[in-house]
Amino acid sequence: MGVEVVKNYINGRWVESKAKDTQDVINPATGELLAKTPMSTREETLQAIEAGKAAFNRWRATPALTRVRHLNRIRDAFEENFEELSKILTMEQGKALDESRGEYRRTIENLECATSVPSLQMGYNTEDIASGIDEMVIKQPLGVFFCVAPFNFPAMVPTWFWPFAIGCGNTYIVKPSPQVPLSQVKQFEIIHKLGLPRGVMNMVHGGLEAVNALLESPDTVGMSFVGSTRVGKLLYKKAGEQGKRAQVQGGAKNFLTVMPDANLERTVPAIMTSFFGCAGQRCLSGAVLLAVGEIYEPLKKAVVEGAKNIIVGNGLEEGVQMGPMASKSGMDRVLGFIDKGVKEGAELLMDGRGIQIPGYEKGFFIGPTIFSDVKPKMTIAREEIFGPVMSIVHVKDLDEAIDVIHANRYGNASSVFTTSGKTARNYQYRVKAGNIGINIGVAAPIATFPFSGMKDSFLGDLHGQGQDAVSFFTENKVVITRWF
Amino acid sequence: MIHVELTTFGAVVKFALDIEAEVSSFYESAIGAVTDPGLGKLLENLFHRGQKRIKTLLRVRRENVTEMILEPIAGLDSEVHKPVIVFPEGADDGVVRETAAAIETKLHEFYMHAAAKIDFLSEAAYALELLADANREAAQDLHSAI
Repeated sequence: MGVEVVKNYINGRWVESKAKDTQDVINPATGELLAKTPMSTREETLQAIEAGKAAFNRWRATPALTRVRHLNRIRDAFEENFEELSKILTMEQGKALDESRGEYRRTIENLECATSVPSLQMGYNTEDIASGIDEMVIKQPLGVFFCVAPFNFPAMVPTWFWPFAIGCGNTYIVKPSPQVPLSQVKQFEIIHKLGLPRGVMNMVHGGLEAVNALLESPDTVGMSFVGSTRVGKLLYKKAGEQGKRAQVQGGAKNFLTVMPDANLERTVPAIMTSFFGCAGQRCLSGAVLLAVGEIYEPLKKAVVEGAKNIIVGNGLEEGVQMGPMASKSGMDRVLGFIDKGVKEGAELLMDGRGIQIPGYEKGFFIGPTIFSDVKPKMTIAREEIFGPVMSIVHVKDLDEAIDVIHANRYGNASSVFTTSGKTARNYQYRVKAGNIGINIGVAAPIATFPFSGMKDSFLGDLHGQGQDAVSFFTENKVVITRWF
Repeated sequence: MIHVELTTFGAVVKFALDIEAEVSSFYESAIGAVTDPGLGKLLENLFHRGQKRIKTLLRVRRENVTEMILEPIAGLDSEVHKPVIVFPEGADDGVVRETAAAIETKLHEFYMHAAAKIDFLSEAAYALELLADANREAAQDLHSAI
């Protein structure tokens, strides 16, 4: 029996792509071929845009409370299918089952938050701006939006955007990562059964051709992108040239600073999940551990001890704490960085290369890897690795730590571990990163807050999630009124 | 039941679900085997309670996995907390009662220990403490029925 080529979802129907090119979808724990993703054509993508455009006027005229009832139904259905959805996510992406459950919790929370759109979308007004004249702002939807989703959070990231977009009266196209399309396919299968009007939600699989069609069409109004900074910058420029709204969440190199007064017993577990959770493939993952002053030696010892206990394996097995890399190319890339760290003279305290997981010899596994004596100019301290590699840099004080952080091009997240309120306040005040954690390993904003980012980690002004998302997906119309 | 290292929140809840299913099955078998109608009623209540507890555990698992604090768990071993769930052939009311009380005591200890280990998920920890409370009350009821 042949492997299924996943279908597009256009105008409320499942549509086979006519594309000749496909990309394999591989279970990264087993190496098994799960499905194939079509590289949809420009024409197919334009059909999805046309469907969104055709549905827009009727959908925007649907009362907001009715619109969010659809979101409530989708939320309930995701809750009912929670375990199945989580397992599909682990199967295609590799992350541990608890991590998939965590991702779906956040997915559902985004839907829950977006059901507040009837309040969040309210405008404002003032009487008598001049004698007998009133002025108001109406927050109106714009049209067809789309997102280009990443491989690391294929279930959740689209929900940073589309529940808010359609909640506000726009229509939407999801373009999943071709590496991991199955979570979105399952979500759309669920949505399909719930009676959302045709054309409000569409899905097109593919790569560059589909993205270009989405960007170049005069009938799309805005893009949300999560992926690499290199690609994000290209798309952001193109969106600007086309006069479209864009929000681009790019790469990251997240620094975690441990002060000498930190509570090590509580800090180390948080560091473990930050660096090695999701096999280091979160955009919020810790990458560099800045050990301040005399904490360096005890911290080194403690993180190695902690990492030794991490259970690596097939994420579908309960108790596994770290799954494989999401792809072979990702694994090879990380192995290249580890080699480079060794060559540049960092001390390899723990080597995750060549880890064997019995029964999963074809999986893309790398164990927890820890370098110490890392210098800020080394490649492993500067570049995004996106894998389970911790680089420990010894700094003398907080000022030096912040200098190291600021020398990096990225500014997605940063955390400090301390028992001093003054240090914590100083850190949150000075550090240029969009998401700051105080004694938090993974500073992941919940759905009611924007998922922030600074420097090369974010291009745009309004972020995904919460009130920012509502602002991104609406435009303010000012009305000035006088009655004779 | 396969021995599972309880090193994640999911592993803890999976272990709890497995033992709740086994315990429910024990109570279901025991209901018809005892002669004391009061004890039969108590066992029936415990059987129905088990179904609700499984639903509670599933909800707790769905609602409490939070990425910010999805931290590893250490020092919780399923071998230590696995109750002895056997329904001896021809057991009299006294043996059933004692077995049930021992199960409830063991579950109480497990849930209290697990709640302490996942105190970083306070809602989940509280839910496990409530389950433990119910086990303690059930053990007392069974003891007082002896």
